[in-house]
Amino acid sequence: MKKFWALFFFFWPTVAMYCCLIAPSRGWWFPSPPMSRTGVQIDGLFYLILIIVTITFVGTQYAIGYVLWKGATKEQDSKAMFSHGSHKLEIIWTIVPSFILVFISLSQLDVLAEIRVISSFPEDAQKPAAKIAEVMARQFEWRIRYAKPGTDLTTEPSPGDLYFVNELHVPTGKPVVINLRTQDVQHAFFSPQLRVKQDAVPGLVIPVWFDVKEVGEYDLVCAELCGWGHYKMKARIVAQSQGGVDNYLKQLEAEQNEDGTKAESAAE
Amino acid sequence: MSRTPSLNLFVLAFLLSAAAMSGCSDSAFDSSFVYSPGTLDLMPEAQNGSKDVHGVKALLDERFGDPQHLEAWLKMPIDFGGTMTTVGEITTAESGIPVIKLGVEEGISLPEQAGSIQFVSGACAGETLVVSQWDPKTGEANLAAAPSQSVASGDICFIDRGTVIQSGRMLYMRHCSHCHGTSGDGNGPTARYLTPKPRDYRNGVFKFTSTNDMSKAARDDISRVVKYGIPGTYMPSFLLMKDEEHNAIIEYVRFLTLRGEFERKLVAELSSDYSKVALSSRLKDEKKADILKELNEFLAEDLKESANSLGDELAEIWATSDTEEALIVPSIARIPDSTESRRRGRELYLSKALNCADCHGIDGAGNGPQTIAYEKNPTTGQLYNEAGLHDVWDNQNQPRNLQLGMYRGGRRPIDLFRRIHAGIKGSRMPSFKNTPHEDIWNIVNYVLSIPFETEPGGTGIAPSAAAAAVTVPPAN
Amino acid sequence: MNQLTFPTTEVVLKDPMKSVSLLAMLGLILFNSGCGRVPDFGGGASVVPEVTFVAAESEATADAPEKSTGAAATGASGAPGTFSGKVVMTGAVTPLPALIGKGAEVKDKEVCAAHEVANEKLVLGPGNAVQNVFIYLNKAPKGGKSLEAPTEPFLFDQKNCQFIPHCAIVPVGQLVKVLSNDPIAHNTHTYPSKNPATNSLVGANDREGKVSFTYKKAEPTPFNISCDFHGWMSARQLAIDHPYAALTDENGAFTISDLPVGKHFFVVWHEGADGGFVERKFQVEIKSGETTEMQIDYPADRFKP
Repeated sequence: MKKFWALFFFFWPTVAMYCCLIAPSRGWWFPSPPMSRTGVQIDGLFYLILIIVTITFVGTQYAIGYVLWKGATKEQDSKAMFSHGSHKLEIIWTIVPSFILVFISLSQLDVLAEIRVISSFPEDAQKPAAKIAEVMARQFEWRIRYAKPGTDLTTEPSPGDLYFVNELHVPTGKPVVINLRTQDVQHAFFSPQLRVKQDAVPGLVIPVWFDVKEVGEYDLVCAELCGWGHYKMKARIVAQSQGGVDNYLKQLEAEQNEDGTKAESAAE
Repeated sequence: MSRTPSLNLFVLAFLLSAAAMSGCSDSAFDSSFVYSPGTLDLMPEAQNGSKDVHGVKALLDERFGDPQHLEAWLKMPIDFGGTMTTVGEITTAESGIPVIKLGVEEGISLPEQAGSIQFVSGACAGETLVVSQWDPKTGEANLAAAPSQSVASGDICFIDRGTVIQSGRMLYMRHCSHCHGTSGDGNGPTARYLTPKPRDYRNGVFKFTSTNDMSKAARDDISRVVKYGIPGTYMPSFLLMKDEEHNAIIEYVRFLTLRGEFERKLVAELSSDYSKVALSSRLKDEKKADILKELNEFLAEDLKESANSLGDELAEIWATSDTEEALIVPSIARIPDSTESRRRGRELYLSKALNCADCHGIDGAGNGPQTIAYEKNPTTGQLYNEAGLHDVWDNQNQPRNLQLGMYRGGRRPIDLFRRIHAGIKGSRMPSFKNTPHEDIWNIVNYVLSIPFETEPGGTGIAPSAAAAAVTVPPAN
Repeated sequence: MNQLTFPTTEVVLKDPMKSVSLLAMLGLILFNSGCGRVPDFGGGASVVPEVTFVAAESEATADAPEKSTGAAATGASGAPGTFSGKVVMTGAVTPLPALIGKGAEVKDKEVCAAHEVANEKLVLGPGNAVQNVFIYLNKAPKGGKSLEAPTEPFLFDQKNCQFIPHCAIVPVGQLVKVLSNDPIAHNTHTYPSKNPATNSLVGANDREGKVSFTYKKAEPTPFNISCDFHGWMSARQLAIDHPYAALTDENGAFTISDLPVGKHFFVVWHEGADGGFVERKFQVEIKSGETTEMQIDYPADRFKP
């Protein structure tokens, strides 16, 4: 029976190791491949942590299994070793994890700075033209404001701004910035495929940059429990070529200046 | 610790599974439509009728049903769903069950899926048959079971009749009912936390329409609101909904609206003579038995008869509201936005002839003198408890603060034009349909510029002498 | 609990049946907590409702009797008669003070307070006769004349922030044109119970009647018309689909002619009366070719200022 337990504790870390090894290739680790440049970096950090955690977990579990096995195969009347209060051990298991933690925190600083610190944004994202829209979260939808085509986005609304709701059009292949705001409570701008997640805080205008690698439609959801209708805050990010976005904005501008005298106004 | 955790585990497992199961019963409670306060204010005999005659409740239920068993009253201008087609050739499968060929008419487009066929003419009229196999290309439908009577070529039937209203009901219950209520009474469980209140459809009034002041809302108007939400209220955008889901919800909203309006119309026939209040005053001079006899006669003859004509009236106004005829189309294109146009717009805004500033304030902040005046409830003649304007739902109703740049009925120039032209239905905003369209456009240009004025009234004109005479509380 | 003995873990593990039941229990928890489907909200979001179709014309009305008319009409025949009389307020009558004094501090006072505006809720004539009382039949009597809607429009005017006339009977189908004699904007907001409501701006000094509408159905009682700009302005109109209605004049007098012979029950309605009705069923017997004259008493305690 004792050997059973020892083997039992060898079995699980083996399963865990297997799972961790195949997880990335099976897509168990992320909802989708990263669709933005920072997404690739963030995924890299996750993999780093996955490796460290796998080694640590599997190592400690095997150690437990080894100790159990040793105990199970020992003579019945042999004496146990008393190791409680060993300074050497205490120091080892304090220093080693802290080194690991310091390593993790240092290794992600660059990525964090690039995502969060405006002065570390990629050069292109710091240009005013990169600011494509204001995303105003409110209970329970995303209100989007684009600048009038040909002008730069202003922090507060300007005449000629274009408005839409729950659909954000972004050009692919270059960093874009949105001004994230909220009209009421805290919300969070979260696109799982783009690996973008940023809280919207009342009173703050938070620039969020990301770049989309491929044309397509991506989810935009709220990741901060914001009230009873939190689940309704689902929108989409439509990534298009720059030309596609320009056409879209031109069409939006025409729709927004609709004066109802044209025939198609009836259908709209 | 000699006691092992196994029993604890058992107990825990049992409790957890019991708790989990309790939320998962198959016997879902039935939801029901509520009756309007007007109906409940009638004397009980008028509400319930007697064993021979239908009261208001039965007349209503007969035509609209309850949420589990919807009645589709074909008089109503609602797309209940289904494709009407004619039976063509009939062959018999090996099993002896007929295979029916449908869609023999020219130009008919058959649906991709077919679940059932309902016959409306021929020997099988009224019967609904389940389709086991469907080929949309040839229009051949294999039936799951043989019909009770023989189907003949030329019989008219519907494929999947009523499916739009069915899915509309289900989607409505999922997405809408928690605010708007199962009956569309604007009184769902979350309604109490919301200001402004969710719309009570039962008045048949929707505020933001593209139709003229005497018309109802068009489907497109409801559609816009569902798609894009209403900024400044709790109505969110449902943009990501599929088109067929979207259309089904709109039909169901129309269903609830028509149900509510039909109920109101029935009550209007009865309330002056047979409400509880009327009864108590009548009992001073009349005997209860006489009143009941008279009521029964009225229910048996007049009301039963007028139920159909009331339905016709409703059908007509809702159907015409959905046509071009009802749509407001400006006679001239928008006056190009210019300082001159805004200046003219502001003059009109402040003028005594249009009185915009009376409610919206001289600088558009929505704080005109009417917002501090006490109003009478126009139907009861009683003063409201709080100052300010009220809408037909008796809720306090703020004139829009035009400085915010938030436009509930849409921000396109045509939206603002229609708000002014038709007024905002149900609210105190009147229709300015007789104002020349050029003037309306100038006002639209001015209103659209208000959020960007550097100072209130910043288009550079002082309020005219007449406007100055209006006592206006200072902004903020 | 302590006196009970419990199986040990070892026992559990040795006894395969117990392990199985433990696992089964855990499985049950997982299964149940998910439930496999969305819990039904009132049977709403996931239960497919049944739909049955109701014919546009339910058969109930296919054989509906010919539109029955009037409670009166006992089948008696003879030349039609006339009902005339007077409405008089009985008891201690206190005339209402003026609604707006001359030059009072009200909105648009240069127009609205140019003259004293009397409170028209109660207009008394000589001998406490009451003006503006509606006397009408709920339904057209059997054998009665049908309504001929006048072709010329009914002019509904306003001057010095007062509707003129304050009370009116408007036949169904007659065009109502709203005029204004004031240099300021008014709006006409109607509150009918069966007809569609109107809420429209009436321009300053509009003598053309750009705002116009027609009542399509008879109303059970006179309804309110107000101006949202000037909250004190109010008027009453009764839309009616037969000619048997009258409004009392400044002497409280009224006349309804061409009434078929027999018993009739008139509604006597006044805006100041509690609940609106002075009498719900004022019985009048019309004799062939004769004029029936009656005085209708309006007890002062029925009046609610």
